[in-house]
Amino acid sequence: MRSLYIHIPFCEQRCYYCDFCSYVSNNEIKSKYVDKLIDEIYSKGTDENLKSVFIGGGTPSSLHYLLIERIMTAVNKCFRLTNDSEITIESNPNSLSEDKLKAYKNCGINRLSIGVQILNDDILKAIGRIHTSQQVYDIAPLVSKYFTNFNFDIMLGLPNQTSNDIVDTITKLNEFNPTHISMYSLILEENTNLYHKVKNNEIILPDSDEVVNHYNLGLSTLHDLGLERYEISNFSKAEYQSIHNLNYWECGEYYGVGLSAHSYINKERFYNTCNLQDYLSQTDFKTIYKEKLSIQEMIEERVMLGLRMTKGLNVVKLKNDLSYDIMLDKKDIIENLVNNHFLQFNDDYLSICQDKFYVSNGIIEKLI
Amino acid sequence: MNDRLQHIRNFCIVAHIDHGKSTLADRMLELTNTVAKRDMEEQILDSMELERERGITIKLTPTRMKYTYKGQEYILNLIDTPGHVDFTYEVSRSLASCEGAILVVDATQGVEAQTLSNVYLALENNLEIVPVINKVDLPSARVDEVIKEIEDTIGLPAQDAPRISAKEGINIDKVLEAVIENIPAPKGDEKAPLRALIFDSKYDNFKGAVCIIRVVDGVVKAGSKIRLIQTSKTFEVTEVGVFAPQSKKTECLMAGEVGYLCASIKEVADAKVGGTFTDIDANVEPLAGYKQVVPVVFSGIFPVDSNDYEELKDALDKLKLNDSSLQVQPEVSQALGFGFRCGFLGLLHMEVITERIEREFNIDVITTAPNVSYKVYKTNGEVLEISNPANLPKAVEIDHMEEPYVNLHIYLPPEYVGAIMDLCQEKRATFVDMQYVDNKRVKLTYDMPLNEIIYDFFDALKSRSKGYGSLDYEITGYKPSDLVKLDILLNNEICDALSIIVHKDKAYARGRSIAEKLKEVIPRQMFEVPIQACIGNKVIARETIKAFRKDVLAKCYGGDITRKRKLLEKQKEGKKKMRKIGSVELPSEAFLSILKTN
Repeated sequence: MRSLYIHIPFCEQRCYYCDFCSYVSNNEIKSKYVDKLIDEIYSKGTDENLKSVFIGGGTPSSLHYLLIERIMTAVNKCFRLTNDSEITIESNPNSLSEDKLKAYKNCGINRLSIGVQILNDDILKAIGRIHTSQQVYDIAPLVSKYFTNFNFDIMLGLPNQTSNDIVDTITKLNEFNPTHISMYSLILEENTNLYHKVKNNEIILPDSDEVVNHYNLGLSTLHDLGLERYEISNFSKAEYQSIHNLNYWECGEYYGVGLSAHSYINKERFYNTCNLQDYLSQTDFKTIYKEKLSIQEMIEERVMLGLRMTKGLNVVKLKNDLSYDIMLDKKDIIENLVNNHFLQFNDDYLSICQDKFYVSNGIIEKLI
Repeated sequence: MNDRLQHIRNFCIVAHIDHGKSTLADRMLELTNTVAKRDMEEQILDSMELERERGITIKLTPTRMKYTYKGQEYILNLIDTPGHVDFTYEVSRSLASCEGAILVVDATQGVEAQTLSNVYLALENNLEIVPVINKVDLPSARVDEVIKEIEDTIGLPAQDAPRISAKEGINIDKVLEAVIENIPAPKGDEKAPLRALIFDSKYDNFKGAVCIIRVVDGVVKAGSKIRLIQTSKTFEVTEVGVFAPQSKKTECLMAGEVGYLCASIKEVADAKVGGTFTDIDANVEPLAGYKQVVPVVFSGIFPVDSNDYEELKDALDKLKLNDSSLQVQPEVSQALGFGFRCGFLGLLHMEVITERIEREFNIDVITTAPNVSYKVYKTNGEVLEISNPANLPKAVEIDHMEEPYVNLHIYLPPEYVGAIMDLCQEKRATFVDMQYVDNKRVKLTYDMPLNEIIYDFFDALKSRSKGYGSLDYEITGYKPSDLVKLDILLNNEICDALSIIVHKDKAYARGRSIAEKLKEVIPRQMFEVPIQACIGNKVIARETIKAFRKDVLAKCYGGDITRKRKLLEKQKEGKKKMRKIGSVELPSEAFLSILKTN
């Protein structure tokens, strides 16, 4: 089964660190965009079962809920959603309301992801987020009233962030009983507002050693609360790992619709234009071809993505799917890494030892 | 004495660097029509690219000129000499094949350290010295003072010295006349058995070894059967000739003449500089007069790419043929693989050789930190000479060690004396003497370990005297010294290429600075890497390179997979180019910069 990603490229304000495809636009454009998006869903529809749908952004919750309902209606018409399909929408605390939450639930959305980042208003302001921690405290009880399955995004590597901020944020958010936490580090991308502020020394970011210390602190705090790491940046209660994300890391296929969305179908990658005007004016939804993966590249991706997960890489599945026996091909390297406690092997899965995730790229690079 | 010899003069030019030696040589070639003015390249005798770039002479090039004086034609053989302290031996070889020397003194600079040491060498070889005052056209020229300096410090009458400008071509004829008038004609018996000194040799791809010779007695020509006295090997001469300045075949070379000889000599060792050729069955004594040369600075030279080992070996063989002062021995290092331990006359010599390998032979090399040769007295009575720190016996087996000392002369303006005395103090030097050469210059004499000079003394001298200080030195012998071997451990493994022998008092500071430098250049690894500087088992400095940990900070989403894969592929490509020291991987640049750390 495949997944579907739907991109909503609108925000009320662009965060200083963001280099994603996102615009601050008026309602007319948003509505035109959704029309076009629905056209694209129809053009790609195959009537097949989907394991997951992810409405991401941008800030999907900044759209009127009627537009979300229209999108979901189109998805339901063009694809089949089952009881087990995971249907997620991304949201910003300030743009959620009880009405929206009810509407989301009614149109079949069963998982919410809320971009909290940090419960410290000075830091939120410094990185250009428009919400406050109070808005999180206000909306979170309503979220847990309507949804059992929801995620909070939190961020590391923020200016002036202390270890206390990390523990405090995780602890307070846990009171709302989330099933999932994504903990990402801020990546300073060129051509962002934050990049220039950092270059001009207006903002000083913590160095990577400090961020890694914060990550480790977050890891143990989450662990104590029963949220276990199942992928480098993702933590969940048992049975609540994100189906949509796992599909990426297990090299599953997916459709991507909307501005700049990527698809991976029949071993080929495609992506849509990043230009909003171009997207709105197109009629035939011609995607841009990116690459057809060779066997070698497919193997590399399996290894690279598989080892990001705590459970690791299923070497038997790899052998069955791509006729590649990594345990044989990389025998000496794997033995060496296992003996030095970088890798472990259990029940068909080759995985990175829990305390060696910090050098995962170095390990993966030896295996590709 | 026969008429032929009366019309030959063999001479060289000695001068401090930059005093105009090469320019004067060029003007003489022009004036004697040896080289047409339109063919004149700047400093034609410095034929190596490197020499012209650095403005120094490394290889000797003897040149034959013809000059008519008072109706008589004279053959003037100019033997150019190097001007740097490292090349004292090369100077001594040229001196031994001359009867006289032109001493060029810069009218604006006066007598310099180098000038003096070269003059003393010339005097030791019984050469007649013809002083010449150069750069008299410059506004800052102080001709009379400089003449007085020459008379006072060298004890050489200089009132009649030609006052010239080599650059402007002023009074060059006076120099040639002074050579003819003052330098004795060579002596020698052309009817006696052949005796010819090899004072230099070059390698030619077609002719084999080209020996540059001074014929002392006898005659040599193509077809002559000759024997090298030192090795008893015999050869048949294929060609003789002179340089004017390009090589030009001649009928023969006779007693008193300077020129070249080829004899299908393939083996490097058979053209050994300092050797004497004689007739195949003659029974004569070999010629003396050559100073034994001993390398004083040692360093490992390794190919950056281990596949270049054979090429490096060839390159060093060829360089050795041209440069008998270079010493080469195979060496194996754990960190660097197969290479050579080379002995040099000094740091400049080492740099020149390294650069020639890279430029002329196109091989990238790594040169390890230079060191001197130590005498090690073992408890069992054995005495070893150690020029590679890796070969030093264990501390318990060593009774005591000795290191080479030099008699160091520093010439500098009085205002820097304080600063330079402090510097010498820091470098374990013992003050011997201080003299005012004149009211503008002071000569300091110190007894100093050579090791300190090759470390960073020259740079420190230049910087603390704002460039005015100059130095020369001669090795005086070995003295007992409290030396220790300083090992560098990376991830608990000794890196042999980084071991040094150092005085105990300096060990802590050196250990600390090496450890700090390593921490700076070694990238973070998949594990924590301790860097330790150790004497025996005692750790005297320690740094830690923290493990690379950032990989938990990068997320990965659907649209990002291709980019991530390409990054990893690139990282893997990069790793292939990494060098390893034990278990520590590092990029080539970091690897090189570590080994360049003194």
